[in-house]
This record gives sequence, C-alpha cells and structure tokens, in this order.
Amino acid sequence: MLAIVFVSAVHNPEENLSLAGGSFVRSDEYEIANDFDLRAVEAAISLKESGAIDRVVVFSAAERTTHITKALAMGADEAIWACARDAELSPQIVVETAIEAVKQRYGNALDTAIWLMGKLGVNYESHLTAQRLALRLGVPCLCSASKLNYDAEGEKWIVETESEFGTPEFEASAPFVVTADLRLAEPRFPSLPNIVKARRKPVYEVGLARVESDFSASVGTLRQAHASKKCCQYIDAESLMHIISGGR
Amino acid sequence: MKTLLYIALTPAATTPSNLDALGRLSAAFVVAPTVIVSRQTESIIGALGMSAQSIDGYLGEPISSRLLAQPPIVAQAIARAVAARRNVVAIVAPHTPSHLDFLSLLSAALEIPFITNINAIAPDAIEHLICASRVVERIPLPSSTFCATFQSSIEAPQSPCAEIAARAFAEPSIDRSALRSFMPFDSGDFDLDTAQIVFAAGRGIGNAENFARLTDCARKFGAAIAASRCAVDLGWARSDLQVGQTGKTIAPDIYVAFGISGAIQHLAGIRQAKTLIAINTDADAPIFESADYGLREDANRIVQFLMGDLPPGLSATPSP
Repeated sequence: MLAIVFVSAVHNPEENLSLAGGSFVRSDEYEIANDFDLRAVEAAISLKESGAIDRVVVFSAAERTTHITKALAMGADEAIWACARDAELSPQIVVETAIEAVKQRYGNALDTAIWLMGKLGVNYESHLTAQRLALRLGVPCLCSASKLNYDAEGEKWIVETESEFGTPEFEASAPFVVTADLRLAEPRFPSLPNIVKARRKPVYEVGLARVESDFSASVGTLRQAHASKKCCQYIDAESLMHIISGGR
Repeated sequence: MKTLLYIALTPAATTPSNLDALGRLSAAFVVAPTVIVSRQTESIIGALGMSAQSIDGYLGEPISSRLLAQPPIVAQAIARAVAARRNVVAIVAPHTPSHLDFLSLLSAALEIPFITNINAIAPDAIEHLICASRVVERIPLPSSTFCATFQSSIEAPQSPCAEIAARAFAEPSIDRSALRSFMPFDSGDFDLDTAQIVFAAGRGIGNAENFARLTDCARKFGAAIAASRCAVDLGWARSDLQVGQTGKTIAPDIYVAFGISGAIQHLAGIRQAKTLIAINTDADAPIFESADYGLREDANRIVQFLMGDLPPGLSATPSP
C-alpha cells in the first residue's frame, strides 16, 4: 500500500517578517517545512515500520528540495518534486499536479493509496488542498487526525480526529485523504547515516499541471502590512481584581 | 433580492458581537442575510426573528453534536442549500475551527474563493489577517460569490461595497465517511465560545492541581476556563479547552493568560479579545507584546490572591 505525503514550505513563524514595497519578503533563509506536514510524514513512516504501508512517497511543490531531503532522511522512500520556481501556487494547481504525477508513476497503486498532509499551513488558514484533493478523487476527507491505525484483520483504517464537539473516530477504506493534527506524531530527527542515504533516494521532477479556471487562486494582493501591536501597561494584583470584577 | 448566507452551526456564531458583525456585513453588501442554523443555534436565531433556514431538512435528521463532528456531511447539506438558490453573493461564518472546516469543504465543493479571518471591508477591498494574525493583507473585493470567515470586530465601510454577482451552482457531491464512535465533550458550566471573561492556563501554572484551582477561581468570577496547547498536552486540561491556531479562536471581553508565554500559534486564537491581560514571571515572555495589561508575577500567587487566600500584607504586590 502506498502513502503519499504532501510537504509544503512556510515562513518560519519564529522569525520576523520583513516588509518591502508593501509586501512581505520571502527569504529562503526563513523557509521551513510546514510542521503539520512533517507530522504527517512521521505518521506515514511509522505506519511503514509497522507493516501497514509498503512505500512512503513525498510530494512537494516547494521552490527547493531541502524539505524533500529532510523527509527522505526521516525515512520516506522516494519523492516527486514539482518545481514551482517563481510560479504562483494555488491549492488547485498543487492538487492537479499531484494527481497527474502520482497517476503517471504509480498507476493502479492509487486505488489503495492513502494521502496525508498537515491540517493547515501557518501562513494561510484556508486549508483547501486536502478538501479539494478528496473531492477530485471522490474519496473521504478526514480532517485533524490525532490517531491513524490500520486494522489488518478487518482490512480497514481507524482514524481518530479532533473536533470542537468531541473526538469522533472514523472507519475508512483506502483510498482516502487524511490531515494531521499536531498530536498525530512527533517528527523524528534524521540520523547522520539516514541523511547520507537520503541523497541516494530517487526524486522525480515533474512540471506543474495546467488549470483552466482556478477558483482557489489568490484574488490578488494590494498591500501587506504588520498587524497592529498593543502597548502593555503593567498593573498590580488589585487592579487586576478590579478589571475582572467590573467586566462581569 | 440578493442574500448573504451566514453559517451559524455552533453557539459561538450567535454571540451579540458576531451578530452585530453580520449586521455590518449585510449593510455593506446591501443584502438581507439568511442564517443557516443547526439544532444548537436555531432557538437563538429564531428568537431574534432573523430569516433562518435549518439544515435539518437537507439531512433528514436533527443536527446533533455527533453530526457536526463530521464536517463533510454537514458541508454537503449546506452546499445543497446554496445550490438550490440563485441569489447568494457570499457565504460567511465567524472565524472558528469548525466553521473553517465547513467553509473549506464548501469552497472546494462549490469552486469559489475562500478568504479567511477578515477584519475590515472597504467599498472595493477586503483586509484579512494571515501568518498567524501577524500580517494584514489587503486584497480586491471578489466580483462574484465567495466564502469567508470574519472576526467579530470586523470594520465595514459607511458607503456600500461594489456589487458582487451571484453565481449559479450545480448540485455538488461530497463523500460520506463512516463514523465508528463519538465521544462528545461536556462543555461544563460556562461555554468558552460565548464567555465574556476567559481565564487560560499555560505551562507556568505548574501542575494539574493548580489547573483545578484556577478552574475554581474562574467559576468565582463567572469566567470560562481555557488552556494553551502545552497545558493540554501535559494532561492538565481537556483538548476542547485549547485556544490557539490549532484549537479555538475566541473573542471574549477579557482574556487573562495565567503562565502562558505567548507562542504565535496561541496568540492567533486570542487576537480578537478586547482586553488581554498577561501574568508571567518571565519579563521577556512574548505575550506581553500583545497584552493590554501585564503582571510580572507568579500565576499561582495571583490565583491565590483572587481566591482571597493571601494574607493582607502580601495581597497586592506591585509589579516592577
């Protein structure tokens, strides 16, 4: 069984964002792999180690292969890289590119594949990629998974998810799309021998798919700016008591 | 007449501030809103006399928490409700995790743009927060039907917005997945989504006993209790109490952070709080940069003080 894991690049949330000419400067230096995606990678590798998955394929449309190399060093088997370079990426382009590339390379294996990715990126919260992928494939979309296990006897997947209303547990047969909550898995640190091995693992480069009318494309940016900051006033415990008593 | 669909599936969508925001949005778009309600919100919306449409009819069963926990099924029902109409210019909801899930699915199913976390509207543009609410991005107002989540403090223009065309939709299909079991949360005495005052615990609170003590303290002040991801992962608090980018986004009048350092992911969930008060012994904790008021104190000591358990001489230690 095949696991396909999406890995995207995001601006490191711990680093400052610098402005130039009304928009934020994207710098390679501060780009990191989306933490949510790395948890999906870790989950897929653990499933391979337990025998539920045969092969872990990483898909990335990031500008550089750094994040792919990291996932390969963690233990993924191979990767597909759709080099975006300066192209404007949208969820729809990413989804169409992935489906096209995976179909071409793995053919029928798609019928039993599971697709994983982080539940959101730290830059934009409109997490459309997983939802669009599931709709395009006509398969279930299980969001914010905190547990993902394969029941070999029953030949089905058990997925526990996080929601505002409780912890629903789903039963699914592959193929399906699942998005990782931070609780799904803790990404491992790649060992030195695995970092060396990762360099020999195959990375297949593909072009971006063409999308005629892209509903998911950004409606355009006019200007970006820092959100306003507050100015903290220090108070004592009695003032605190006064504020919270008055706010009732 | 053109309409704006307001998705109000959880009590968070029925707070006065969110309904006021809906009023401002409807006025800006010159439309009458139609509220899509669930079993949890229909009585509140009904009491206000707003034009409402229950999605129960589309599902053939009442919308329970069990159903709400399966976003694809609910999104399918809403998509059908949208497709049945020809006059929808926007589908909006408050910026909360469940409404984000429903709108992500709806936007993908209806093939329309999705704009998250809008904090201001101008006649021809929209401003929304990105990068964990650190960046304000100004974008052109879409020319036809779009999905959006908004902040309750959203600013709307005095003059009406440019006209938005209502798109026609084909009936979409969304897959069902089989729900195996469901453990619903008990929301407790005070609902975090609608509370005016929230006390939140972070790692600095120290242990589960102190968290329980803070919960008692919150009850004394009529406040709801919340937690950072760290406090949830340490097992002190249930995960439905988690506030932040991966938990709830809330907008209380007063938010008091007890021993929370203020990671960007946590701050993303509380930026809409009117007054943010931070209590932390670490003077360099990033939460002070986002706070209105700060106390450089041990959080547990402040809890003791609020509970009236400190001797008089120690009660009001001034912060440096």
